[in-house]
Amino acid sequence: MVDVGLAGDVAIILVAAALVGVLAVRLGQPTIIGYILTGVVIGPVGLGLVEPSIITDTMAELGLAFLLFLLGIKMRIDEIRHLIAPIVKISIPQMVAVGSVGFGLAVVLPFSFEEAVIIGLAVVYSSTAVVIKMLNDKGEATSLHGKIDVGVLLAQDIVVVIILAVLAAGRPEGVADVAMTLGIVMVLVTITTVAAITASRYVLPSLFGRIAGDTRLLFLVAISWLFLFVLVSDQINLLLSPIGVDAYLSIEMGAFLAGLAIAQLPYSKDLQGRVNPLTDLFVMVFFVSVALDFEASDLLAYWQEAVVVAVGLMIVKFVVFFLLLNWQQFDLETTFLGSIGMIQVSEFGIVVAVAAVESEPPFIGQAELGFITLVALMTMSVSVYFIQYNRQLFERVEPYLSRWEQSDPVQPADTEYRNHVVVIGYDEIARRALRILEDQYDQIVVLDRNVEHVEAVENAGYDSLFGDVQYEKIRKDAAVKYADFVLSSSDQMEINEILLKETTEETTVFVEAATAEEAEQLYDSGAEYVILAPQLGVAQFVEYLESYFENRSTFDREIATDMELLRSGQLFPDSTDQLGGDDD
Amino acid sequence: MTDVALLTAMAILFVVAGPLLLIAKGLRLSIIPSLILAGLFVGQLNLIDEALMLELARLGVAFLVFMFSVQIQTEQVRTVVSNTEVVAIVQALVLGVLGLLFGLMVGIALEYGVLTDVGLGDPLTVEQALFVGIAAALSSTIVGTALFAQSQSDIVHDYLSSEIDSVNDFLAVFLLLIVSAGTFALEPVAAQLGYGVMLLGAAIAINRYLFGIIERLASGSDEAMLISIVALLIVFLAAAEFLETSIVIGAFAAGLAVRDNPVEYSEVFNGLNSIQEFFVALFFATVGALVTLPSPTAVVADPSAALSPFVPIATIALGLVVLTVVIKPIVIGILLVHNGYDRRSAMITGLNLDHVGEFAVIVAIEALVLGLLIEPVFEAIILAAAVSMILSNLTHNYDEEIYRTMASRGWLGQPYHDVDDWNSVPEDISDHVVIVGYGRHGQRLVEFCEEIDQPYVVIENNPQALPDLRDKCNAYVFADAIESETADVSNLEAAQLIISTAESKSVSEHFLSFADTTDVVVRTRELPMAAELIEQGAMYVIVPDLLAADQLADRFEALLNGEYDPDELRAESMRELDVERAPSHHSTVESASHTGELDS
Repeated sequence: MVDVGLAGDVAIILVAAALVGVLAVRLGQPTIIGYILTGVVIGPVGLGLVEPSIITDTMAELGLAFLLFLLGIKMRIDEIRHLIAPIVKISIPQMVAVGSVGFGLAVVLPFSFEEAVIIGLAVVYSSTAVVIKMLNDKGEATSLHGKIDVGVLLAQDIVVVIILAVLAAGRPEGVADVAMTLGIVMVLVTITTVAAITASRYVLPSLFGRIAGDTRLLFLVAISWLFLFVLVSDQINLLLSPIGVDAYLSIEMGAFLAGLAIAQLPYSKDLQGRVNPLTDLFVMVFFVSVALDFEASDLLAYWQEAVVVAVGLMIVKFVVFFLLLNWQQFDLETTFLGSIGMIQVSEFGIVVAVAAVESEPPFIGQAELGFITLVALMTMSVSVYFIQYNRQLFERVEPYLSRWEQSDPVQPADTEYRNHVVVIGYDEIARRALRILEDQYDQIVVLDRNVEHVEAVENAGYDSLFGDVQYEKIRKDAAVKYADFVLSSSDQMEINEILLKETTEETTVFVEAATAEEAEQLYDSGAEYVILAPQLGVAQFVEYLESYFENRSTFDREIATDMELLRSGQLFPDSTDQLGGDDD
Repeated sequence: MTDVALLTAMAILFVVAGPLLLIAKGLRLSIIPSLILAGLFVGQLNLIDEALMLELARLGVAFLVFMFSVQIQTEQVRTVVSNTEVVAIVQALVLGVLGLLFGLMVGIALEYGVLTDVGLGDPLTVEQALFVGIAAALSSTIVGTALFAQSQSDIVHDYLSSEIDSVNDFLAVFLLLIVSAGTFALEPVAAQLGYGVMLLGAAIAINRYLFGIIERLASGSDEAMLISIVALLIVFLAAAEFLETSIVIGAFAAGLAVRDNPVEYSEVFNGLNSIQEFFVALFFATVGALVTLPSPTAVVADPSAALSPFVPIATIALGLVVLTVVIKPIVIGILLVHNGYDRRSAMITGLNLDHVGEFAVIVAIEALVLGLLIEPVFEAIILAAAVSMILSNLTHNYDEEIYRTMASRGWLGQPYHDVDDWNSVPEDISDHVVIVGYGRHGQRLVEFCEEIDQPYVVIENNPQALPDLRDKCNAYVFADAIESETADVSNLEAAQLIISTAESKSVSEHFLSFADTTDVVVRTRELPMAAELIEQGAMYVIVPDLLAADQLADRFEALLNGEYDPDELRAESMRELDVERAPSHHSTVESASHTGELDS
């Protein structure tokens, strides 16, 4: 057995990134900038404290995989179907245009023809990690411009996979060779997608339905599902080499498809909350490690050229995206926000460049790799600010863009709750309360973590959300903050305190408590009414008992409704029965 | 060893674990043994660089201990040691000593070559045997809590199990501190304790002074708060490494440095939980992968040569399994019965705790990493843990059946009463109400019976309720409700009404067997179960939510329709609360007059 210390590099990365990250938050800067800077400072370029190790590389890879997985979990196909056509129409011309500009700039600057080709290929993509992280942090991932950006990023991802496959195959012999590789990759992507969607339709619903009641199990099985796709995409070459096919799939693509399959299930919201923190942790390591691989001399060899290309590319990318989105008739705001997000060069550009360096014989040298990395780092950093302040920026420039206004723009689907009822936990008390409330409110959403309850809720005709209300994600989806009435039939103090903290004075909040002490505490925290269910239950039972000892027939009559319900054995009866048991 | 990327190895571990977890769910087994088994399978493929994987996986241990220590802050610190805690400690001591003796015996047997061609390579010393003892002694919370269907149960054996478990966890953390001293010699222990105290002191200082600053710096950003807390943990782990003590101590101290504020930082704690769950899963899978089984091909080729190194490992593992699955429930049972618990609760508690706990696994891995534990003994402990956890799931699922079989064969002797006044029922009692359970519900029913001068008998099996029973109840039986003796003494046959307030299927079914002659009311939380109970003859089934909804029905409409002014509503219910908490009988008088009105 070996002496196992805790990975020192990881420790330094985490602590340094936390310090810089907190500082960034404090100064109102995006955390990504903090993380990238951390890498520059502690890496070989700066203090030289940390070198990339297997552990840091693995965590960075996990970060990217988890980021795409999380993104996949958020994609409900019903919600993005109408965007597929415009996305294809945007991404292909975009890549051609940006690639040509990148190539042109590189040829003008002192790069050889071959180097310029690689540079052109490397700068085409926008950064999945930056865009998605920023959109997530700003809560814009499922907005219309967010969906467009994500769609384009995925299209670019497919292209990256193809380029990497081609580069890995060595210097292509000719057009036929390229076409062959291209064909294989397309077939593999299609097969994996079909597999994921088939699974999400036929296998996963029953599989996840059985385990959804157990939070930890659901989480672990979902991760196992993710790793299945990661493993297959990673080892596809190994799997297919016996039949003589050289294949290549990216881990990111696999992770995204794994998430996509889960997204179609009702449990996806709950999983988002759980996967998010792990993603944050690993993505942090990813951003820090971007700058770890370089010596200062390589990184800065072409720094003047890098500045020129970075500025040029950002402008070109914005203009190209703006024109293409406008052409696809998105409204002005969506067009602007969607374009401003995509102006950076991706970390995949670096990956492509690395592949080009490692190819036999190499297409480019270390200095050119440093140049591409520097462009990526600079554009990523700058674009983060553009995304951070995208709306403010839009307000400033909107008057000058009026000639691009659409007369009939594509409409985003809007399903936000406002002035509605939120019920936490569906039980007998909640069920009867809802029967009264449904007359007054149009929107009623019930949160529950029990598969059967959720089904009962849907049968009763209310909206349901599967998930744990302790997660902010779930509370946001149910728009607890904007609810007019909140009823919690959970007697967990923590949950009720969180609800009371999140709601405003205007919201009427009913909660349940187990003891009088807890009830008092909840009143102090601002509850309008605290249901002391056990005490109420006992009081009711004692009332029944009184009848039992006084007059059996009265007793039988009083419990008749209850007995009918009890005998039915149904978790929740159809809504045709009467209200209450003792209103006679 | 084939060189596979760490990510691939991790992926394989999780991919194998997934189906095993699903199978385990189908068989109602808990998560951890499935993870260990997944590791065990993958480990045999020789794909994993265990040392590297362990580097990541030990973060799982760190997070586990860290979260444990964050949470114990809010637990109330008691100065009085309850008798269950004494039971837990004595149990651990007895099992520990038995484990130690067993380990020594195996060691001596090997030393004198009782089995030819069998050896461990290293001698099995007292120190090694001591770890066998620790593994035998500790059962622990995670497996336990995963087993319990309901939390906060009133049922005696459930709360007994969880209390004994938490004592075991404290013992485990204490043992980890000692193990991390690197050796059992006195001097290093003292030095390590010194370092430990230093770290804890630093932690408390941070909690007091620095944590507030961190909170202010993170200024409401959950992500910043999360990474700050993770960084804090890492700093403490690094400090522990630097002081050459175990990371467990670092993690424990770090937990104390963080203020537990689950409401304010629910998102942060949720995040820490997810991260912990991921790494803990990775940890147990990695632990499984560390065990080397003899390869099947080698066994087929030359059975004796392939198996002989494995014999001592298997012997120790088997011994541990017997100790935990057979001996431990017996020891716990005897101790509990001597503390006044009935034999059924005692036995079922024992059957809940009959496994090698995961904290024992953590102690073992720390000892291995620190070079205290030789690999064969470590492997034996891991195997025993996996097997005993699975068996423990089974014995828990069939605990009532096991108890009934053993009791009916007379293996458990007669019910034992260590107090003379275990029942105070007048012999000629009849047409009485039998109230099963003296919890909140039961107490209210007793009050009611006394108000209307209705004779009653309370049946309760929790010794902690005994003083109250003596003081406040005219007639009580302090015994297990299911014993036939209890039925005789409380004269069940002649009762008018039996009300069981225990949410236990076996108790409900027992009393429903009297439904032909007596009215029986039982209790359950679930409506489908209620239908079943009515089928079996229950006159009424108490479903708390249903009753509460009934009681609310009149008021609910007014409440929800906003016929009350919010302030008025709050004021009114606050008044009710005060009434309820005061020991007066106001509410009953009110409801009595209410029914009076109905009648007239």
